[in-house]
Amino acid sequence: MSIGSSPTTEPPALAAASHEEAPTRETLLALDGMTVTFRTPAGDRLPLVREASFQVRSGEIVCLVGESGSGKSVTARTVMGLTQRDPAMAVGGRAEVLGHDIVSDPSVTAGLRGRDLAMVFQEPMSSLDPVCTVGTQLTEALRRRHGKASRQAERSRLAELLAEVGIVDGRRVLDTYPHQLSGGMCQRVMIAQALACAPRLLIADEPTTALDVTIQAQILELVDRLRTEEQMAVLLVTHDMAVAAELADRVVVMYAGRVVEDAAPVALFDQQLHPYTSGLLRCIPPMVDERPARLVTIPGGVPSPAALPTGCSFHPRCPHSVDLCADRVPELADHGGRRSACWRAEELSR
Amino acid sequence: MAITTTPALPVSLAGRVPGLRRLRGHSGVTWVAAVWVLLLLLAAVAPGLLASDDPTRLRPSLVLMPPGEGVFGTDQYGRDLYTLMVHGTRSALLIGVCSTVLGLVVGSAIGLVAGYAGGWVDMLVGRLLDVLMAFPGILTALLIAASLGPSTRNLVLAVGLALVPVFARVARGQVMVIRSRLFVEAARSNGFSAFRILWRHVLPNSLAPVVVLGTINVGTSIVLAASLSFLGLGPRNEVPDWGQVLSTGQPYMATAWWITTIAGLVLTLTVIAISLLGDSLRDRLEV
Repeated sequence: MSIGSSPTTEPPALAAASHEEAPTRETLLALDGMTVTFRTPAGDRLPLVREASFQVRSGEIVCLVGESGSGKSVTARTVMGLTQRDPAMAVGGRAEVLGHDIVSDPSVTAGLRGRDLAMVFQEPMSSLDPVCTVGTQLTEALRRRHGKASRQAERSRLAELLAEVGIVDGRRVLDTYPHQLSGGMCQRVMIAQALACAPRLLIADEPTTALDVTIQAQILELVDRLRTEEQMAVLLVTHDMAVAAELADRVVVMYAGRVVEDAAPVALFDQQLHPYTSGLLRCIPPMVDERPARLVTIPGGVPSPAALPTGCSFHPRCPHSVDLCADRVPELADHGGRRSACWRAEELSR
Repeated sequence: MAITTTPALPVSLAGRVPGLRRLRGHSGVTWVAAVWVLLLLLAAVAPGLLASDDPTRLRPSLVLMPPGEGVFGTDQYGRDLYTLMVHGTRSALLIGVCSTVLGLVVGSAIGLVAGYAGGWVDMLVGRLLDVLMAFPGILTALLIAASLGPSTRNLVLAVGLALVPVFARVARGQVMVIRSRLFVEAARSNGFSAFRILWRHVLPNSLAPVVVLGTINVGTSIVLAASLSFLGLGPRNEVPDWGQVLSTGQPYMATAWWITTIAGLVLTLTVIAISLLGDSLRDRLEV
């Protein structure tokens, strides 16, 4: 059996995913063997991210996918320079954000945040300060980037921003407190806040998870437009394979803190070079049958960083594992423009 | 990482005394307390409205008269006790409120820095506060008041500084809870400076328990100030003051019980009333 078979339903928008390659794209995020470890009170070092390597260039959307606990959010927060604040966290390897080395000097991110670098968090309700109005918080972000302007100018700019994320009565929302808004509204306010600083690199940690599908489509369209018009680079952390299929220029699959596959979405959905990716895609429920078949799942769960299996971390859950998989860790190897970390990638894709 | 639990607020007087606990949450009682405090405020702002007499007027012919002469009777100098109590309100409330504000501002600032910085700063501040808290508040206040000399200003300083560790503790715990909240990280991801995050986001979110503690503490400060004044560390003699009435009446307790009783009663009622209002505020703010 080949692991390359795609799921029965093809994600709808494969055609939309191919974008014209501009030759002058600047690399805004470059991870090369980045490692993040957490020191437990007992003194053990737990690897949360292991040798992550991928790049995001301007005008490019890279989707980071994987199960909960695979290290996606830690990767995103490390790029922002936020994990480094915790003395128990240590970052190694190489990581460059907008040309600055953030491993040797994490403090450079402080100057970038809110200007060239912005982030949208996954929990909208708790990401806004409960005692400030939405307007106050958005104004803070706007001023950080553009400096102080007249109150009227600021308010109309903010109302415009809110309109862009689908909030029609923006001027009223500016005077509300976060608890008066729904989760979806808060999430859109958060996105507006990130966009207020017109970042060159946007880190979005599941930005549309709390939103209903129509708003989700609207937000993703906006992100897509900013990518095309402003050459904004986006690192999009998501669970949603359909989102990845629709927007991404490249999809990076993470498992147990490691990048296991990295490919353009068309190629990835057509043929997977890692059994974990195939497993993930097979878990999307088909929409064609009248009565859905039994949901496919990958047996087991993501291993805890305290008890990682030897060799390839996925081998205990992998239907194709052989003795070699339990012995040695597979490198993230090049397979003609895409990468996979599986010993049997060549063999199984045939 | 640091421990992130809120320390329980020190229970107010009304919460500690079993009989008084039943009064809490009873809206009628809260109203009575509110009316009492309003009366006190009126007495503090315009004492002449409630007692037009001069509180310092000595009447040698009317020494140690029991209640009935005037309202509350007279003291050993023939001063009218009612007038004296009304005119003494200003000094009591002034000291109570000012010293609480002083303790709250200084304590919160210390707690804010210690809680946000964490690490060795927090450790150092924590140990220093431990040392201060090892002494009872009255002793710290007595020490400060005695070394500065008797005056209203020094009384405020003494009582205020004695309250600093309590406020610092509560503020620190609250800041530690707030600083780990996601919106603080979101503010950081917006690139705001540590000072801005502290001032605009952490402080306003940490204030509710500190303010409640402050209202409850006004009563305690009044008692503390009256105690120091009783010991002779209060305002100058010409200024009418509750603690002073208590101390001047003390030698006559056997023959003229009303002097100390009235002064003590007014003091007790005031503390209970403020404490009940503080409790009601706590229930409203849900802290």
